[in-house]
Amino acid sequence: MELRAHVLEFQKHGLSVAAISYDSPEILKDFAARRNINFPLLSDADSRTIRAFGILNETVQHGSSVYGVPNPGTYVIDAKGVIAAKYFEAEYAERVTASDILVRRFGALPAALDVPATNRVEGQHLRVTASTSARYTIGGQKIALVLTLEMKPGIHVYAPGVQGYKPVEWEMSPGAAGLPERLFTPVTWPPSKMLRLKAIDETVPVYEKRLRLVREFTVPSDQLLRTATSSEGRIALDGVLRYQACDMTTCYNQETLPVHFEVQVLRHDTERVPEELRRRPETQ
Amino acid sequence: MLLLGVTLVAAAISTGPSVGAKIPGFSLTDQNGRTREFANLKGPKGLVLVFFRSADW
Repeated sequence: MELRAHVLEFQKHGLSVAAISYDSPEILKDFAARRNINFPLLSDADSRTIRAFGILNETVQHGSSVYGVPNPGTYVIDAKGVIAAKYFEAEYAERVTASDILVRRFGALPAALDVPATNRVEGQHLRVTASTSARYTIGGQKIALVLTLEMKPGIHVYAPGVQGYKPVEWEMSPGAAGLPERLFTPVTWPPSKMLRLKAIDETVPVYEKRLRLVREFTVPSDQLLRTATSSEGRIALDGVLRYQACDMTTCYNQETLPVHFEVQVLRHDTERVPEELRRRPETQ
Repeated sequence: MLLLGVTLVAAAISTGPSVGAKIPGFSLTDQNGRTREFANLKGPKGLVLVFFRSADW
């Protein structure tokens, strides 16, 4: 379970972690021992809790051995028992990863994981570091691509929607890896600051000092995954960051910097995802 | 293989109670035979509760 590596990260945010399945306590005991899992695995053998949540997988035939499984997903529940966030996927093969939830919910890259920056570029006015929420991934998972911009003192860049200046833009060129654009979500823009430029009597939305941009990438499955993966099992994703930097007196020419992400693809864990259970869209 | 009865559903899947809703109560046995409920699972800020398909396949 990818979750295991992130339990400490959730604990730092005051959250404990538990996982529910329809397996017997014996199966869970064996599984926990084999995988060295030390957070609670809860047995919902009659799927009563799965039903109480209303997430029984109704697409599974009654009477089959897999009847009773839930639609897989994750709830973040506050201390009073109220759901603060939830993460489910419409596609059977897609999974939200724990590291992705950490990034999306807490804006925090799981530092303890020692996720390597895959690329660092020094521009004239800022440094941009590209990193991914996970070092390893499998087909169907969602991972977060993160750009961290560290601006030089006194420098600001412009937020989307600015008039008269060029806003920060982050474009991926998925075509280079043979991947369709739909695998990338739009960028999540943090709130900008309104900066008043006295000399020209203007107020503009800007970012200063440090800016973190996040977008999600869905690792493709099957043929697309094979196309995009190198012989070393890596997916490389390239794009560009464009920005116009200004300080309080001068605006500089727009600069374009290359950004580069890499993630290692693991083969599907067949203990969890047997071949015969994967979706076969063409056989409906 | 469709023998296992897993079929495609284009419609949105059910994802349970909405954000802002209270979770239903539960009492379940964990891998060590302990009875667990929300009250003895949660941390100071709450709980990340993951529903997964199976540990066995």
